[in-house]
Amino acid sequence: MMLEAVELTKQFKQTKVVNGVNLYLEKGEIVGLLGPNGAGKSTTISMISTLIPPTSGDVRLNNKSVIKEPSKLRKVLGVVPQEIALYSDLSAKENLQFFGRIHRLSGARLQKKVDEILEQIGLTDRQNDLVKHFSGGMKRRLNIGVALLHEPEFIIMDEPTVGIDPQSRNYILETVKRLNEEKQMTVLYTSHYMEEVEFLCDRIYIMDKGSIIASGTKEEIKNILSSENTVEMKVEKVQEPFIDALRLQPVVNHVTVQDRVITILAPKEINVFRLLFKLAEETNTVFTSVEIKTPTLEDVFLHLTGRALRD
Amino acid sequence: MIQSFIKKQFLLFIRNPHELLVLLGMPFILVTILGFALGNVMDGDDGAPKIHAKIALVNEGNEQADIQRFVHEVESMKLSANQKQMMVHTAKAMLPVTTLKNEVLGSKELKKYIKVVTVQPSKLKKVRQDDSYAAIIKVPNGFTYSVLRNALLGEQQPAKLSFYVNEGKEMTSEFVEDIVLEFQQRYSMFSALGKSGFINHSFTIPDIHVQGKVETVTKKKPIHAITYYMVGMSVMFVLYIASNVGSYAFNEKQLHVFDRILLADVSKWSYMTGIFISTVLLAFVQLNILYGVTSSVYHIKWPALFSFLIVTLALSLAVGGLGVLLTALNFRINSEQVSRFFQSVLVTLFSLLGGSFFPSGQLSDFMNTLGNFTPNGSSMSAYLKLLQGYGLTEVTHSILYLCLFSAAMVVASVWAFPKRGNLS
Ligand SMILES: Nc1ncnc2c1ncn2[C@@H]1O[C@H](COP(=O)(O)OP(=O)(O)O)[C@@H](O)[C@H]1O
Ligand SMILES: [Mg+2]
Repeated sequence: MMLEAVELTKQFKQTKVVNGVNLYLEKGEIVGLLGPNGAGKSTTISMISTLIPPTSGDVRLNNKSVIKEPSKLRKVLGVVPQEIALYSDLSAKENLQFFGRIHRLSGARLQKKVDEILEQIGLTDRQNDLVKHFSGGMKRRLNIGVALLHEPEFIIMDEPTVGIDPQSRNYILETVKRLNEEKQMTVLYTSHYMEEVEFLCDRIYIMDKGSIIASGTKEEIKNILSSENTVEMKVEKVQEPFIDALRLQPVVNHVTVQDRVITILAPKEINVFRLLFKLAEETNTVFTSVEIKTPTLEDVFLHLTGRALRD
Repeated sequence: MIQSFIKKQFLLFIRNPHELLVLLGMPFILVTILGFALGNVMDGDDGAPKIHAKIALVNEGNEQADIQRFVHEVESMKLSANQKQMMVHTAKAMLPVTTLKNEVLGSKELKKYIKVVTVQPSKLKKVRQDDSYAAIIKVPNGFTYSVLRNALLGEQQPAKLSFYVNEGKEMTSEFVEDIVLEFQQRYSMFSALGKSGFINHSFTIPDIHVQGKVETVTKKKPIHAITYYMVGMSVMFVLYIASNVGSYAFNEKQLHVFDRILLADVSKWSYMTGIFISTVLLAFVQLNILYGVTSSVYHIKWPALFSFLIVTLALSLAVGGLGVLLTALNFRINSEQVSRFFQSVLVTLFSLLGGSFFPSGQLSDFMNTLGNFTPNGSSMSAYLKLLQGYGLTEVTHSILYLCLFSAAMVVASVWAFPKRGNLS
């Protein structure tokens, strides 16, 4: 079983929101699609799930195009939309029953499946409460549960953890892992949180401004940064002259400042510490700590685009 | 599949107490307010039929002179003295014009509804232009004479009473015409009797069953204000079902629930069918609740329950058509505006035209025609007819119109519903 997107492009009016995206999912893997807001992730997903037709390019299931004949794909695909696509005036159970029925489940089979999913997403106790009385995390869990009703082989999740507390988020991440391990479900996990993607995914696509700018396993992607170190400095007070001086150094790349933490990228072969201490002395900057960090996907993104993943 | 759409739609309505209040509580309150406030304006005393017709009786002949003429002729005939006496006696007792005036039109039962004004023949033209008369009965010259000859000698057709009706007062004039026709028939019957020589005894004209006529006419009774507004408000508020369904559906699209429905490989046709059927059922249930509650609270009787259900179903179909069309248009322009516009502007306009607030059809023929083009107006006139005691055949054109309306809306919505790809 393989699902792939080939040179997918979507143009709205004049702008190409998705531009020549190639992506594939193989049975049993968890693949991450990482990118900042507005990168075109949701549009890509809508095309892969056959909700909107691409301007050009193709979506193939086992090498057969599904754009003209979406039924085959829809049977094996579950989609967790970015939005809470639920009836807030219905209870959790009623939502599952409704969506189950439109997936042609009925009777005892439907009942069994609904109970099973309620268990999976931890909502058995609250099954009869109206969704509008649920917390953000519970809604997100049900949003996932609905996509599991027809036991899909592929599941595409579009930012399934936005706007919820860390505990719910962990629960969801664990659920995704479990689905993959226990049911061999193939997952395309979309997010702008690199920690989530790092935690879950075997392979990763990084997307920005409509294009895939990097792809591969975690290690492969991080190797993009093999020639650079990330240096994180904590300072007592951020002095503008120090930042300006850093930016003027040709060996220092991508200076970012967050509160009292200054992060830079610098080539591995250069001992950047001497330079940093010298500049600090000149500008009366006092370090509280300086350390070289192992690169994160965040750093990769920074390296590739010159921008932070999150604004 | 369709069933689950319907169940879901009903659940959503039930879970929305505010909307239920608008759809069920509001019309009931309005019926009560409007019915009582305007009750005195719209009908006189309670329940009594509102027929107060003025009838002009124009007598061009002279009853006594006609009788004298007939008696004179009988005397000179070659008949037995006994027979002559019998005929003279009968002729003198018959007094058809007096009977019509005093015992038929002036009878106790009819007096409540009609007032007979005797008018000089010279004033006939003037009376015909006077709109306050529901009908004019003209007794032609020599009427009594010809009636007597026809009845007692079996000769020639009796002269006919002329009957002019005021078309604006259809109900009363029809009723009076019925009575006058029957009155004439009674006399014609004598002709048969006279010819066959059955007239051996003195006899009187058989009674005309005025009471029965009154009953049939009161069955087609005018509408009490409460009844009027029960219909007016019900056919108005059922329209809100269509706009609500349209809004709910658009909400489904906004919330991406509709995407989920498509992803479950449900075609948009199934989706629209679900919308149509659930709108029809919701409208049907709402109408039955509104009519049921109002009728039982205000003791309003439906003479024909089956016909009522048929009209209600036809109206529900029309509302179902509106529901899918509003859904399709909302989806097409990707906004709830169409539903909103329908709810705020069109429902009010339709209700005004259809006569939900006052009998606007009486303003002019044009208004009447326009009103009957609205589904609420068309069904309203059907309901009122049924409440007046008319049968199903009198309302079939409304029923057909409502079904056609529904079909037209469905066709329009199939055309308006966006294609895949323009949906998101
Ligand atoms: N229907 C549309 N019409 C026009 N522009 C759109 C439409 N849908 C999305 N976009 C634009 O496409 C870009 C990518 O959006 P999206 O795919 O939602 O990104 P992401 O999911 O990565 O945040 C955004 O700039 C958005 O404004
Ligand atoms: Mg998105």
